Amino acid sequence: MIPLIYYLMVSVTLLGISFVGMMINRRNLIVLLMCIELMLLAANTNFIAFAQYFKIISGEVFVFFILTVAAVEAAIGLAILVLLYRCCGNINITEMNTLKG
Amino acid sequence: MLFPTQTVIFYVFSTILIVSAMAVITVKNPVKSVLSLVVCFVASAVLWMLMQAEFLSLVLIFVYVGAVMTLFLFVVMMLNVTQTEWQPSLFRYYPLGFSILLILVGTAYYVFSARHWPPAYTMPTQYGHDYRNVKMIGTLLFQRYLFSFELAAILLLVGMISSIVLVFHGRKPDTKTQKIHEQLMANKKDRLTIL
Repeated sequence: MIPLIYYLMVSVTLLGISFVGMMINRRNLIVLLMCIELMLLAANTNFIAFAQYFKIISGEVFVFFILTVAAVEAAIGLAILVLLYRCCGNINITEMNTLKG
Repeated sequence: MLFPTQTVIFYVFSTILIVSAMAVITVKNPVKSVLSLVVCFVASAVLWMLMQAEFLSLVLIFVYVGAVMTLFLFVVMMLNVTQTEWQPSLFRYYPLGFSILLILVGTAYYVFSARHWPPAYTMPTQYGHDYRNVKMIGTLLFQRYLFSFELAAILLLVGMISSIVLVFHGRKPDTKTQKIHEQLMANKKDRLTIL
């Protein structure tokens, strides 16, 4: 039997790792999008843990909607990424300074 | 005493989850990064299955590993992303990042400890054999959350149209394409001759 706090700690660690990934990753935008996916995964794990431990099934329905939004977000994000590659020729984060003036 | 199967599965798969999440953010090659993200999703699907959320854990594998991760992999391979060399300046953010990770996890551990929030040690509810997860979710989804469900469908449609509009920029002039208008205008008199 696993207490609730174990799942909470796993998802907090996952959230922290994806945050660190956004911070240390100075190379390309794809890894940044993958970090967002990891963050949503951590949130979903939390939702399911609370739904199961406190017997509220609505939490699982919410996870369903988060999965929908995450799929749409990934599709549009990758479309923007392809556009960016066509326009600039690379997807390095360090070279995205057009708005800097 | 019975062998603690669930506890062992939990420890094994959460270790796999954390290690592959670390691999996602640290490996150099983006393709390996996507593949370790797939391992992450599979491991967390096992964790969800442990919490008796069968429908969502299967959806995670089908939709995420099957569709979204394939999309990521296609984009990574299509874009010809070169592996940039490791420069010393890239390591500049490592200490700050991992100290923030430690602070975050430590704060969570402090807040969720039994002294501050006793429900953190709630034991899981094991539903019996007559519990149907899919049926429960379906009942909720099509009764109480029907409007949100339809909104989610519209959201998917908007996402599909917008990604097509963003990436597609017209047909190239000299390619052979299907001309639907001419096909519909054709009739028997033009095409059929009796010899």
